[in-house]
Amino acid sequence: MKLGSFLLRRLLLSILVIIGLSIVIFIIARVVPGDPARMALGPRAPEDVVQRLRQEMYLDKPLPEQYFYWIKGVFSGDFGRSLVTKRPVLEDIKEYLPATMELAIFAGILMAVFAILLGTLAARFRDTWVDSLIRILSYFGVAIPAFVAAIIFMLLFGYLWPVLPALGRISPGISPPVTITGMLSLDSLIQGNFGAFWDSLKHLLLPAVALSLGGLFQEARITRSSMVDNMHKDFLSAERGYGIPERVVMFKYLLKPSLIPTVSVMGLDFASLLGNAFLVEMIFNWPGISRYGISAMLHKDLNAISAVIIVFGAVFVIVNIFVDIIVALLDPRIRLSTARGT
Amino acid sequence: METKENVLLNIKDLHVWYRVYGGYLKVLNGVHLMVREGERVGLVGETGCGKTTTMKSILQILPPGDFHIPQGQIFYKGQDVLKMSFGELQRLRSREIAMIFQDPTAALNPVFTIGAQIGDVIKYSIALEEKKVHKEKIKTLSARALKEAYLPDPERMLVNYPLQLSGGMRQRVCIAMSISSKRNLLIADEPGTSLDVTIQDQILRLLKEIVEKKGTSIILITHSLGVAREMTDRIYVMYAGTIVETAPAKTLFKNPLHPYTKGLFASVPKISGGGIAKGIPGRIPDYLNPPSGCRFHPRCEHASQICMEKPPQLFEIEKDHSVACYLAQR
Amino acid sequence: MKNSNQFNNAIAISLAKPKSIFWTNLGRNWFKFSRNALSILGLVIVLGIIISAILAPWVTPYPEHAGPFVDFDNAGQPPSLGHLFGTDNFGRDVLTRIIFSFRGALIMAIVVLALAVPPGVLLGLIAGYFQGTWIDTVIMRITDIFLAVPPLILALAIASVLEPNLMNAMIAVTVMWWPWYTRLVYGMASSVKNEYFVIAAELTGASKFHIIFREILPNCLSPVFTKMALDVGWVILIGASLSFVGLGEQPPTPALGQMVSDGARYMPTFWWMTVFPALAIVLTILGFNLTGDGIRDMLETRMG
Repeated sequence: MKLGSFLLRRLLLSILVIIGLSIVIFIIARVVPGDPARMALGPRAPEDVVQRLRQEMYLDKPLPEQYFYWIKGVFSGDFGRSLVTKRPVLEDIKEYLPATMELAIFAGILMAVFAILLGTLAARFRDTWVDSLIRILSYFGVAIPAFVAAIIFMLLFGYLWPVLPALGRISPGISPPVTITGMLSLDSLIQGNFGAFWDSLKHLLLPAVALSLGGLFQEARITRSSMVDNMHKDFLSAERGYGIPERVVMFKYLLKPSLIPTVSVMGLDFASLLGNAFLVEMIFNWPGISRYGISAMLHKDLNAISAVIIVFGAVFVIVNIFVDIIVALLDPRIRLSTARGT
Repeated sequence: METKENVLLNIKDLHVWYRVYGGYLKVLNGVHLMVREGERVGLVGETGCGKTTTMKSILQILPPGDFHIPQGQIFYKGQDVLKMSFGELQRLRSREIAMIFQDPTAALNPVFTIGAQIGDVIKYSIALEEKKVHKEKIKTLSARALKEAYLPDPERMLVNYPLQLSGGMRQRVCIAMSISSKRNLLIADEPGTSLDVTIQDQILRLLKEIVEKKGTSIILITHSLGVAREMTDRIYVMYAGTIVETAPAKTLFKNPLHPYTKGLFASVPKISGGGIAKGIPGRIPDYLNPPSGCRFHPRCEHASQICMEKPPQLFEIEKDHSVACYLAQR
Repeated sequence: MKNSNQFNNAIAISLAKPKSIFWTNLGRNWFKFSRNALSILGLVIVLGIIISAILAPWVTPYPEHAGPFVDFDNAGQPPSLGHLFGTDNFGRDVLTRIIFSFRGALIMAIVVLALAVPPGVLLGLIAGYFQGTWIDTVIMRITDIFLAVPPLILALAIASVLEPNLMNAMIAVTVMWWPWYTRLVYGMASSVKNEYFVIAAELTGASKFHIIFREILPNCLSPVFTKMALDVGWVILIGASLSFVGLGEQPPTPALGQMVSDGARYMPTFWWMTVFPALAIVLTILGFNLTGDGIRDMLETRMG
């Protein structure tokens, strides 16, 4: 009921945002000095060929018209052709996106689970050594950028102590599963191919941990501080005073309201995950869309850059809606107060 | 007569300190309070004098923080609460004493339904005796408790969230939680003060009815003398963390002895003549550096040397009427 | 007229700037900051970085190594007494280059925050005060658009379409940074504007300018300052990420991310070329984070 209209509004707003984003990207891409057609064909291509490409790319038309053609293409899935791979960008995306999503989702799960765990522990044992230890770990975890963590892991596990594989998604000897979602771990699980499943998990672990580190500890601290704040609230004293046992008070009545700030932050942290995936993928040789995107940026491959940003924007927006739903489920004040107009 | 048998609660010389930047807030400085079976006790004092802190100490639900109890004892049915084990404390809270908080909005968890909250209170109270508790039984008992607090449509109320209720209804929910199982002592912390006067009146009458019907003892905290007079048998007057006077309600109103109590009575404006009320000069003390001796002496026009040196102890002046004041003891 | 008197009083009262309260309470504020030993540690680290960056040419053992300098005979030396952090593949002293790279990092942080925070805060104030109107909608939708892209990606995208140098990196980061402040201030301004003292000011005829800047703004400042302190670390992090991929400071000027990525090629044998710059990044972010936490404790906690 109210949740439905709340969702609908968010959805419409998100679509608006994506459209706005596409405009911004488009403007940025076209602002680049240089001739896209010439860049695509190289300095030695004859002028008339370049001129034909220019017409094909609508480069001689006014900007709004160019945007219109581009957006039309986007809706039908045509992002143009990549300068680097010479393939339709859509195909590139289809090939590389699942890898990144698999990594990001795995990292996201790690982040959520361990953040809540550590945060709760720190709050429960606050002002003891447990709390101090978690706090110190948090300071470091937050201060270590994902790419630094990735390099350290590379050093440790790639060379010093090769317990876990450091490169790629799957070992050479294992037969990969048939592609359903494109996510190796999921696909192999669905097909019961446990050898491949286990192997792909092992490959996932290091980059996912490197990615999740910063967000994990930040969320742990937010969980802890939100729990500590709520600990002083009257309703907990009241519930305790009515005879509800301590562990129920802590794990049910304290946890639920305290999770609200954490979950709200998870959406943003997922965004940093996606951003940091760029660098981590490079280091671990993970064939994901972030690596593709960086290479596109360094080569000024405009079609690919625009497409990658739109895709990331869309993914992020969807994740945010998802997070908002969870927050609304946790906190009735959000779904109900919109009805009262407050 | 003060017989040992029917004394339910006996607070003796309770001191409570709270650590802050610069030292300790010495909130409670020797509180004595006694409640007998079936007695209705009023605790009167201005905001900030330590009434809520005292009550929370009884149930050991002081907010987590640097609270420190340097001395004092709280006897309930002969056992010192301050030395109770977790299990005994839980039993105390589930079956013996219940506290109705001052602000019902703050006392209810905003993200859980009413049914969930009151259901858990009942569930853990029953769980002390029975191994397995049926959801149906909990639901029935919850609805019944809500009905006893005169909440409309109890079944539907169970799935509502606190924010959907008005202030008066929230207060009734808190009361329902307190009476959901038979208890021997209710503590009502300024019931209805955050509400409309008419609603407050309804709440007070509800409390009166419950107490009479079930024979429960009650400690009624209030800063209103009128409410105290109507609803209580005996009154304790508190100032700055100490009990300054206690007497049966009628006696107190006829013959207040402590200068603070007298000042309180003089502060009530009378509709029939008298003009603007007199009030008491000065302010409540700084608990970080409380006044030496009697904590009231800076505001007392009869203060003498000994008042500044030694804090006066409660001394029985006439039958059942004790005062902590050197002036009255002369 | 009676009205103008009330108005003057209202302005006089609201002119009590929060800054003067800060200095008069310095003792108490310092207490709040120093409660946490970690905040002091953070402050020490931050001061160390700033001072060594400013005094770099005089403090470092080989200042000329921060510029165009090669000495292949000495290339790839492990840490020793002469070179505490070893030398890189061009024979340059790693420690010196790290300290010089602090300069670029700090400049970037200062410039980015100086350029991004005022517009961001201003937009947030305006959107918050005019909440519910088209002004609010337009401003916040634009903010949402910029926030819809993961931060690093946006910075990379912008920086990559421009020429790679420090200036353009700063532009890129500034463009993606301001929306965070807008959102922060918007949330606070829109709730503060419903407080009684604002309504009172409106009723006594105060101008919108006065209300926004003298009534609402001072009440939004504490979280803004806290965020700025914490953001220094984050800007440095994004700067390092940018220079890791080759955007930002160009060689031979040293930059932390660039040193990490250059050295990665020579791992694990010549580990010092990567590990020390990486540790420097971590230490810098750590220092600013701890200091920022201390500042938050100072500005935002209540005693007792």
